[in-house]
Amino acid sequence: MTQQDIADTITLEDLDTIRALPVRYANAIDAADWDGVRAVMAPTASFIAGEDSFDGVESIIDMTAGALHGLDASQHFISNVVVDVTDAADGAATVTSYLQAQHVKEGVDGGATFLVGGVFTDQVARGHSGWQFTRRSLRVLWTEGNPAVHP
Amino acid sequence: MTASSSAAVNGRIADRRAIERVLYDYATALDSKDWALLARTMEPETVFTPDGFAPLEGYAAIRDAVSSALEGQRSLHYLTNVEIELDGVRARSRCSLQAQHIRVGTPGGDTLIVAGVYRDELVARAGTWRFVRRSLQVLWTRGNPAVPLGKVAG
Repeated sequence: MTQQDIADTITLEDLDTIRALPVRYANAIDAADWDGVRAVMAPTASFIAGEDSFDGVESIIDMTAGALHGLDASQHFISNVVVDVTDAADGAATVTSYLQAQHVKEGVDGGATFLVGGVFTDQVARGHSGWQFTRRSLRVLWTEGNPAVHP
Repeated sequence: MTASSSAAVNGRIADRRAIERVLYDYATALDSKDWALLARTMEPETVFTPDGFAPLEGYAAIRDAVSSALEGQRSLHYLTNVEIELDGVRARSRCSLQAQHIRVGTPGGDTLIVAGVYRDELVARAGTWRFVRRSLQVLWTRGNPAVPLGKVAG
């Protein structure tokens, strides 16, 4: 594919919208804003975290809400967002981003914070609701702090 | 794409970049103690509400509070997770913050991280985006609480 082909079908605003998806997802889950998650994920999207796999946005929301329930706060820091357009004509791209997620719960024996660092590798597609994730995969590379905060 | 819709798209992208720049300029102003730059990020009537404190009303009150908070230390305000909603000449934004505060020689450790979320309202007057309202919600801290933060967390 030539640069001209991409320019004909993927605009700068498309790239801006795609680049914003990992951040919108992170901000939504930190705010327990599940409609915000539905806005950025296709209904049939899948989420792979290590050995675990979740199919469908509602299953992903159940898993995420359960994992974050009871925390005083979480903060998913996203950086290094890279977009590779894989199919300009049909509207598909691969997105990678780095994550540092802080989890806070006061009063837990052994410390109040647990930090998780990793990499998201995502597939996104342009559908009826605009650009959305169709697949997210999280690879955790390191943790720091008290795992009892976020069992 | 028509020329006019292309111009509108470029305008929206330019607005987002300009607003991001205001967020970063505010951080740079704090970290370099450049109060002239801080003044350029906000309208004179801006209200800043730091978590747990009464609203600071107007540029002078904001400058006095943050300069006092950061006196005698270095800082780095790391910003990520920027989201911007445009509404004509008004906009809302939110970004995540991890602010490292460094005061060498503090008993118990030299550093304190304050992490949270800035939520902002901006206006474009004469084509220049500036804050009119800013709040900081603190989510967590890590490090030595003895590293002083003065009256507000910045």
